[in-house]
Amino acid sequence: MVVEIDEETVKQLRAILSSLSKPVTLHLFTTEAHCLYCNEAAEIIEKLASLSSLIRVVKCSCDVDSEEAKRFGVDKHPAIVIHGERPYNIRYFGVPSGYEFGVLVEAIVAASRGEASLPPHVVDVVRGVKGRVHVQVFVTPTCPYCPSMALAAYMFAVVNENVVADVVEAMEFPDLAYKYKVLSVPKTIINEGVEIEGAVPVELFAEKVAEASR
Amino acid sequence: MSLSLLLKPSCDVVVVGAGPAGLTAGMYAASLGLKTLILEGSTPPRLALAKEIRNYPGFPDGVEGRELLSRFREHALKAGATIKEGEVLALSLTPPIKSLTTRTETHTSYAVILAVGVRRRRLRIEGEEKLLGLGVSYCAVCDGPLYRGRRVAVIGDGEDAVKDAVLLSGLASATTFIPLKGLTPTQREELARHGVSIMEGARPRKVEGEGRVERLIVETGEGVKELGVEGVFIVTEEVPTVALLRRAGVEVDERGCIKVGRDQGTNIEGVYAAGDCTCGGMQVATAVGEGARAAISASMYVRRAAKPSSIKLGR
Repeated sequence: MVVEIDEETVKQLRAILSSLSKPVTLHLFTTEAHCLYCNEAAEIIEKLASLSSLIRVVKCSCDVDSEEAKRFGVDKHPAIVIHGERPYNIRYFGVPSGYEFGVLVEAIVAASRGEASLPPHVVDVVRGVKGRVHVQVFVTPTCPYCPSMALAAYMFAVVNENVVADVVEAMEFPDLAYKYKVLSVPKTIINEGVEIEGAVPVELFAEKVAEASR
Repeated sequence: MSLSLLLKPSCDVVVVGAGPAGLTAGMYAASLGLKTLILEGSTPPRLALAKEIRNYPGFPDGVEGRELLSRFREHALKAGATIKEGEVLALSLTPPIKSLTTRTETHTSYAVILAVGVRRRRLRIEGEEKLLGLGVSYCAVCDGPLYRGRRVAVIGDGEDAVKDAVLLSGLASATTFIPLKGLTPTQREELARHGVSIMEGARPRKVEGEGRVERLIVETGEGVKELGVEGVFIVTEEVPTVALLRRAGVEVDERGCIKVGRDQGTNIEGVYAAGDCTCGGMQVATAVGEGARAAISASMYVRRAAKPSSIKLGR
């Protein structure tokens, strides 16, 4: 599959990426062993990085058992980890296409600026998260309701390093989708125990994350 | 002592909804010189989900729903309208100044244009709620890819239900369509061409399964039948926030559609409605037309209502 970004989108992307204030590193994890979508993910990331001098790509073609993958918490491929002003726990698993491409771009901007676009009262709730919370948002590229949950999870990770935010493309990881009974998206799993079906207001999502940390 | 207060709302018109009708109304209102705010809810408009629109004038080769919506949005912004995110939680529509409250702000205006669209409605059959997210879905575009190679049923009415059944037929191993209303010959042909089985006259009664959907029970002229499916997609429509609108005094009909006159005016002075929520044509072109008409009517109303008024307080 050849990844193409039309001129109009490139123009819009350049405009959005012009708001980056600090360098962003995209750690791209691929493998040569049974990875159907690694090439596409790499192509998208490289094209995106070519649009801003502040985006750097660090590639790791390595197994999930490698030291590097373990250090970044990468347990499946392809994976993209976004580090910006700080080494945030923002990870995307799968090809960031369709609606999820926009999520990736927003996450890059937030990571670069070190700012989360969340209402102040939500920021307060997320700041209060004391223990480590693992949030997994399952999505599909054609789901228009998914970006709100995916982005919120990423913004939480920008606000508080205790939040580890994973967005997982459900179709590419059928075993995980089966394990978590993902039969509808978005579906969010918090610390393996709490489940959120569908898109919910960001306040409610933040409360669930805060609850899980207690 | 006598004190005069000049009542001045935060804008001239608030448009609730950012689909084709809302964005057109916002664009027209702003072009007509009104200070215009468009409130965008969290649910994407139906147009955003449409893969291709083939009957919108000016696009003989079709246009993707998202692209058309993005052009409407750009046009509204260029005309001077402001677009803000915010789900309306409370409405006060008593003339002359209306107020709309979202989770974070209250906006006031002379006129309000309701363009709240429609959303999927529950069927309210046994097992539907229990198995929601476990095989019962209201969004084929979102969840369809998760049912690749599985057997699914689509229950619904209207063009969207047919489109969803066609979409799923390309993913699922078998797709059964249960229309809640009659089908047009073109719809029947379209479904047949994509290998979708149609169960006309069947009535869904129950969704069953342990932890996930396993079967759908339907009543037919030949008795009760059991369909072995893993996914049940429900595609029916209703106007959202009907209860909220009713409480605010807006008249709706038995289907929940907002009643409007030829000028898109509702029963409340200065309150207009446009698009799918009036259950007009349920087409992008009709939504756009209604949006434009609502904005023109609202503009005339605002010019009348905005004459400086004063309230005398005190002794």
